[in-house]
Amino acid sequence: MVAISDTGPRRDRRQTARAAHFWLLILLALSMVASLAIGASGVSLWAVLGKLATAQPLDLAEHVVLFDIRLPRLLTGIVVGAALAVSGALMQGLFRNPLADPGIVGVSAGAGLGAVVAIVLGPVLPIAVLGAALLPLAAFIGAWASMLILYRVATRAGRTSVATMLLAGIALAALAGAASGLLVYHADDDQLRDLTFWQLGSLTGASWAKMAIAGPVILGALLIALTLGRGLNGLALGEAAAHHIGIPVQRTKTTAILCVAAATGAAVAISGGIGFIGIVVPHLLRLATGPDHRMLLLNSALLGASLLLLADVISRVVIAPAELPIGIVTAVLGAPVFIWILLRQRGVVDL
Amino acid sequence: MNLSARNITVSLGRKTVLHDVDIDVRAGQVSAIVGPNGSGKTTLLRAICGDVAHEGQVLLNGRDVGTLKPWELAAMRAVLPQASTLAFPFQVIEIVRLGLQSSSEAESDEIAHAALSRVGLGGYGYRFYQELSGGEQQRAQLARALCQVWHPVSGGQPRWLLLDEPVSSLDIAHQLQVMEIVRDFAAAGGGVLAVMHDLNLTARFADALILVKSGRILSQGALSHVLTDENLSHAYGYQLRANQPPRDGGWFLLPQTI
Amino acid sequence: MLTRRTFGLAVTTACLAPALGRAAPSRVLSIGGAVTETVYALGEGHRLVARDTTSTFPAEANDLPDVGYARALAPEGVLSVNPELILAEEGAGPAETIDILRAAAIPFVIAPDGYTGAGVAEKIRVVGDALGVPDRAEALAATVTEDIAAAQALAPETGRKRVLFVLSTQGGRILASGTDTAADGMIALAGGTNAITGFTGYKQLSDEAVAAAAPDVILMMDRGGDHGAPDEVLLRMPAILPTPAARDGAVIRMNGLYLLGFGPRTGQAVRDLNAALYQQT
Repeated sequence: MVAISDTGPRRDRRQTARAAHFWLLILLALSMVASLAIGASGVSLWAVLGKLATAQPLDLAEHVVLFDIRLPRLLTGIVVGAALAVSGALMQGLFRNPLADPGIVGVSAGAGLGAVVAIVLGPVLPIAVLGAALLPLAAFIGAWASMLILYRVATRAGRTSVATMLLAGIALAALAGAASGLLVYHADDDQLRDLTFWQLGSLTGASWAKMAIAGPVILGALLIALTLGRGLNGLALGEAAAHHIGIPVQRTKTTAILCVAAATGAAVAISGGIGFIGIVVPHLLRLATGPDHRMLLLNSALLGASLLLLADVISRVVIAPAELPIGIVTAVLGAPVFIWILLRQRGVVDL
Repeated sequence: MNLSARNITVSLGRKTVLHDVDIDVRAGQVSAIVGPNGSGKTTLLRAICGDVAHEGQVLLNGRDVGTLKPWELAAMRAVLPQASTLAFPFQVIEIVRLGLQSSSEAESDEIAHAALSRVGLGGYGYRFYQELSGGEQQRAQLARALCQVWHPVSGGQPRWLLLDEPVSSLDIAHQLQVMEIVRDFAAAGGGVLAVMHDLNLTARFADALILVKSGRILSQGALSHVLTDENLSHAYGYQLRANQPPRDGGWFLLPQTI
Repeated sequence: MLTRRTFGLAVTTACLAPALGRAAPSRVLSIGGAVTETVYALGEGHRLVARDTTSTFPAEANDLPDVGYARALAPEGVLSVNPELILAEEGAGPAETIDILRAAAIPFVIAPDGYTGAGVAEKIRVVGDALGVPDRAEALAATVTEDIAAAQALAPETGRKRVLFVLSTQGGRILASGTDTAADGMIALAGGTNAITGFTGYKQLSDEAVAAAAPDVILMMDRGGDHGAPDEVLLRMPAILPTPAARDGAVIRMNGLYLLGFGPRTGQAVRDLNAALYQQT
């Protein structure tokens, strides 16, 4: 689907996209401050900063809230938001379809299966020694494994067919869904509740330990992804034309797929299923600054991180002292915005 | 410096589409691949571009293209495919810029706009590609290809334009315009190899012909050598007679039964 | 069951030490319906500052701030009510949140679960100890144990009724209790026999399995929505129609927390269920 708006810009969009780097950085900075300053407890960021500046000791509550809760949560929000948005942009570029997201290639289904295995079988398997690390680890392995299986299925004689990958992804998602269903049937009530909450996504479980593992994986994948801009632009012309203009097509595809598997797998592992960031963010940016992936990828990372942080702030204040799963917030805010964008556009051609 | 292909054999599935084809194309000329539908013209071009798996060897300026990196190849030749689809709402100028290889932004912008003007789309840069008509899209793609090999000769070596039916969706005026662009490129020292459908247009602009039939080369070489009644009739399975009107010295061609 | 109990106790003792070391905590957060009930039954309700979503009895509990679902607690939400002691049912979490609460040096006491009279007594004692009122807890535990024993004594020696506990009939599919659930425990205490023993937990049953289980009585939670399908609709479901329960029109509905909470009211609940089972016909 390519949407054409009659009111589209009639000028060079590179300036707009570069200006967007700047404004999105400011938005991210504001979101970070909001994320550190706003929370259910009465701990004030400013009071703590004041104490730090004057070298006064913090009391335990301030220390825990700021350094063990809000700060890891802030960092988790940034890397997860960026990972989801950039993965969305990568998948859309790779599949040449603005509706693609990591779910299409079975990442979500694979991560979901991993999570179900951890939740339902965790207590009865010897792997229980992994403790709290089991769930994120299993989700990551599930996401990564499903992506690699699809990649192998879709690659023949060194060439990866994205169409095959798409179709095999649907089959694999169905298979993973069935396996999950079988385990869900054997789950008890508490496990079902755990599973439901996991599927809704949350940054609640953010911790330094998880960041230490997932953070570098996601950051590495994102840095590599940022080099794929020209390659994805070329792929927009089709694989043959991309090759003609000098794009190493197979390497671009492989890199994009591995980046998505690593970034999404790690993001889903530490935050559960968070929808809509991956579709809405690149789409909004394409409307505002054009589809040039060289700028789109960085802007997606910035906007994705900002939006997830803001959604997280909402999720923790709206029913405080309880928290709303963040997947609910992103869907409630994201879906109407998305529909509004679609309605606002005059012509939608070439689906 | 030449473009040559040796022992090109292409099989699609069980069917062999090209049988052990050899061709030689000289830079500084417009060379056209002609032949009936399904003869393997486009497949031959795609084999030369590296788009289809093939046996045999393609040498571009003496270098085996199979050993070149995509970007090394892109610096030597540009390709205009027969039809293109585009996934996202790019502006025309953004498409044209995709053809640019590395150079400074100011210089690049200059080349991109010059290429658009060259194909007669001077004021179209900031329109959306999808808003253009089919013919305009094809010319925008040509501008992208021209950008890629903007200087027909680079470092003493010719650069190449490989075109698959470059005028297929153009009206007569734009057909002539595009063929003139192509001829100028060759005149400036570049190499041109185009798959052509329209024999009259080919006869008017091409210097050399490669006549393909059923996956084999029937004849190749200078226009006068290939464009014989016998060759054409054999290739197309239909009585054809090539003629040259005395008035302007150009070739023209009419199908007729004798 | 045994391992879970041991785990609960181990954590309890580990966490109790700091709690007992200082003056009895005045700001208490209670997680879990039965735990909250127990706090009120011990006369310590005034010390509660917040509760979880499942803590809905007694009515004044509803006025407390709600920190969310017991198994998905947010650390900052919990800290924001500034608790000095957290009393939680087994399964409260997630582990990351518990870790942070430990880091914040807030005593976290886990009351063990158990679907027997002894289990309820143990839960009451753990809560009472944590609140610094062990004597009252001992008294309440004794009362509850006696209640349950007395109610159990009402059950007939023979001719026990087969009871099918139906969690929901959503979409015409019957989700019923197997063994190792609170419902199974209650049926046993009240002198009934669980009609389904082929699996543990709550699972969907095929129509034929329901008919084959041949329950004399159907036990349900009394709450709105589809869970509370009217008796005439329920008894006319194809699965239930051939059962003795349908023939006799025997459906018992009780409040969910009251019936399944295994808290201080459980003695009364056992008595009620027993009465409903054996005195209505």
